[in-house]
Amino acid sequence: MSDSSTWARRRGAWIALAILALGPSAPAVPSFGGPKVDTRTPATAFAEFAASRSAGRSDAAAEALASLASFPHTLVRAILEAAAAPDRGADEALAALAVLEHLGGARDLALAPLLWRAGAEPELERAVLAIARRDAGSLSVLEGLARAVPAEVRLTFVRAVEGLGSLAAVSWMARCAERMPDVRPETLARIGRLAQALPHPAPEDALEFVRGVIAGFGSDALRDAVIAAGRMEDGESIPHLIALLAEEDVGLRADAAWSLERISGLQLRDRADRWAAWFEVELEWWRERSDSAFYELESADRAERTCALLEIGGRRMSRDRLSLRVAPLLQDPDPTVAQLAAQTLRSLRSKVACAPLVLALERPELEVGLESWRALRAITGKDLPRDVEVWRAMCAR
Amino acid sequence: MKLMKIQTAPSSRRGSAMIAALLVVFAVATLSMIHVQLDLSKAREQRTAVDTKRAFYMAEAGLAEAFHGVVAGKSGNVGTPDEPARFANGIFFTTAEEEGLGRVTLTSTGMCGAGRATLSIVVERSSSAVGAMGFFGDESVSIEASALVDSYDSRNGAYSAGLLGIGANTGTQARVGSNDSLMVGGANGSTIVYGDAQPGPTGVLVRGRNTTITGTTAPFLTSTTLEAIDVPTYRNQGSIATSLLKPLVTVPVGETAYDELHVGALSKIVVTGPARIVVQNLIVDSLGEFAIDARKGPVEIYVTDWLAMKSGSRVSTGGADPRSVSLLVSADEAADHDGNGSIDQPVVLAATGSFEGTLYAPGAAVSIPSTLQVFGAASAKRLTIKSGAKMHFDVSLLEAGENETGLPRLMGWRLVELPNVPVVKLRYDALRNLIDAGLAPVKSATAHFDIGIFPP
Repeated sequence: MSDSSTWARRRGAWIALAILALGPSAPAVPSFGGPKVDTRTPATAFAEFAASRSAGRSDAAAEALASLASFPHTLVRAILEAAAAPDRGADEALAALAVLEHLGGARDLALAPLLWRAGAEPELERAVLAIARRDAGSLSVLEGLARAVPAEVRLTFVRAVEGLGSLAAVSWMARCAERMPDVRPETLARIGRLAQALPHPAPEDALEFVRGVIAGFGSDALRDAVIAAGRMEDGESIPHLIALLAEEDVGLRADAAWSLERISGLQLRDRADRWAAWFEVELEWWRERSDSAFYELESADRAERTCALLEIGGRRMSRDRLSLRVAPLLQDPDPTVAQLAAQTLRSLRSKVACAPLVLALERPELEVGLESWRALRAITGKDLPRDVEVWRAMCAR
Repeated sequence: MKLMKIQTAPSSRRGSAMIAALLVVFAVATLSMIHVQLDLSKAREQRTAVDTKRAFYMAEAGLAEAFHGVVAGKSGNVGTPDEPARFANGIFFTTAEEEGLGRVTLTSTGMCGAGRATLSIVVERSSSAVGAMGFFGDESVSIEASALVDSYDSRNGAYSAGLLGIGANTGTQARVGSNDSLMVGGANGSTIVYGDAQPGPTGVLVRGRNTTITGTTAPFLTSTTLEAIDVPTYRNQGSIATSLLKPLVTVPVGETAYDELHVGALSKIVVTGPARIVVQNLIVDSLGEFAIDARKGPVEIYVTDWLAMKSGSRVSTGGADPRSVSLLVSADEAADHDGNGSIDQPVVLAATGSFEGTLYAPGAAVSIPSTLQVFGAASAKRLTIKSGAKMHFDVSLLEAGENETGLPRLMGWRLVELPNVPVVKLRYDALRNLIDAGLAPVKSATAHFDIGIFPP
């Protein structure tokens, strides 16, 4: 073996070590002491990795994986393709999934479903998630792949993509749920959870899909969509949700009421008439008064700005939109107006206001800072100290 | 003699002063009358106001009495419209109306003198007991395919599906919940939850095919902490083990601690209440039976290391009131308890039979097999209800038990219209009227009705 090839293998090993160190479930990696000639071929390295993994010898597995990483990717891929053959054992397939988890890229994703064996959903999920985190092109590959794989694998893809925790993941899941009805209920449930954890508003395509499911009464996924709408705090779903309050299904009514309460912040239980009356008042305000109120927000007259803030603070529909309108007033030169803007945002309780409120924490006026802090605590439900950096880190999460 | 001449007024002027005086007297009398009338009117007004205020406080006293009754385990009904309860110089009657989910509307009408007032509050008889959570898992709950979770009320007798629903003691108030995610159903078979199935605030509910959930599926707004078990300390009595030579052992009543209770094959251990037992290892071998008899008192069993009810073993609670039986497992570490070289989970439930009570294992994973029916509640770190299993949540666990110190929670208060009953329509002092009619109202403290006994 020439010196240059040995060096190349060592470099590959160090890259693999780095991947392992950064990876989500990296096993302990031994330090290599002194020069050591690696005589493994790709096949023997993979076999050693599979055997060590089965025996629970994580050190040896890490070493074999590092060795595998030193070979050209096409060779490794050929090994994994061979392991994906239906006649190969489950241990080998799972080992290949583990290799994919550490070394795979978007172009290898097609191998993942072939390596999947019944009961190996967690391994498949880890591999897909790791690849998707490493390779930005993974989502589009997965989208095409999802149509051609069994439902269990599709669901595993959904769970893995949810793990990405991004708005792009929400959109991907919405498209997946739209095209594949068999995974729709669980995907909708996960869309709701992910969107709840992310900054608002949720991607419009996801919101529209959820509204469509709610409006198309009778779907298997209706209740999941109702809960998702609540978790996404989608104001446009309100009329559909109010309509569901008239249904006979007690559980569906309870879910719709929960979503309405979450969207509006009101506690009107499952009384359709009260929700309808409230909605009518809100609609009328948006039709008749919203434009002038928004205009007054930008007025040079402090009294007009104050009146507009007080008026907006009493609204409960489309809280994200209202909060986006109010947020600039946190930087109003008049501290009283800025303080009132923070109070208004506190009553609107929309997460879109978090970033502007963190900025307002830095204002020199004590009352503005205090009110912004109170608003942040109310919106996020987190009891954190009045420290800009702490809140910035929280919002970044 | 010079006669004194008496000057008399002319006949035309005689009596005019009298008339004037009479007029004055009449005017003064009229004014006095008006004044008296005004005073009387004022006094009546004041008395009415005072009576109304007294009646208001009388109604408040009625609510307080009923609230006290609810705390003490009564129904909340105090007195009736025909036989009101007496308090000081007034009377009241309070009605309790069950609203479901442990909520009760108490409506009290107070009468004092001519005053009448009716107030209403809603209280929630919430329980802080772990049983009130239903089937709960801290980290996860998995209800496998073909499982059934429903509810019943042990106060109305044993669980019964009835014949075509007639005489059934089942309901749709089951509670399944988790602080994280909840899996209900699987690929095959129909899974039914007659009640709520709620994931945690950041959890997700995943439903399998053919899954029915009749209640809400909305996530909880806050997490619930599964409190660690506070294991009491009692005098250690060593170990009890049954064998073919000693096939039946009865654990004595009282508070005791054991190293081990080991039920061998073809033998039985019976724990009779009232008893509070702390045991490190509770092991029931295949073909062994572990029985709990809570007819004479509640039974609490604390397992600190290992609960093993092995496959083929039997557990029975003899149709006990689920509020009387608690199996509390504080163990949380897997270890090789039986020395066979393999790691054992802290809770192994593979028994056959029925368990009426509350199972609580906050640090352990619990898997309930289809062979074991649970009537009551179960909470664990991770809870799995295996395929085909049947769980029956006892809604009586939602209400505070007699041993609980938690107060009912006040949910709302309002003034309501007077009820349309004869006693309210009595024009003057209702208490006096009743006494005159020979009806002496009983004192409020003795006018309570028990749960299940409805006022006439």
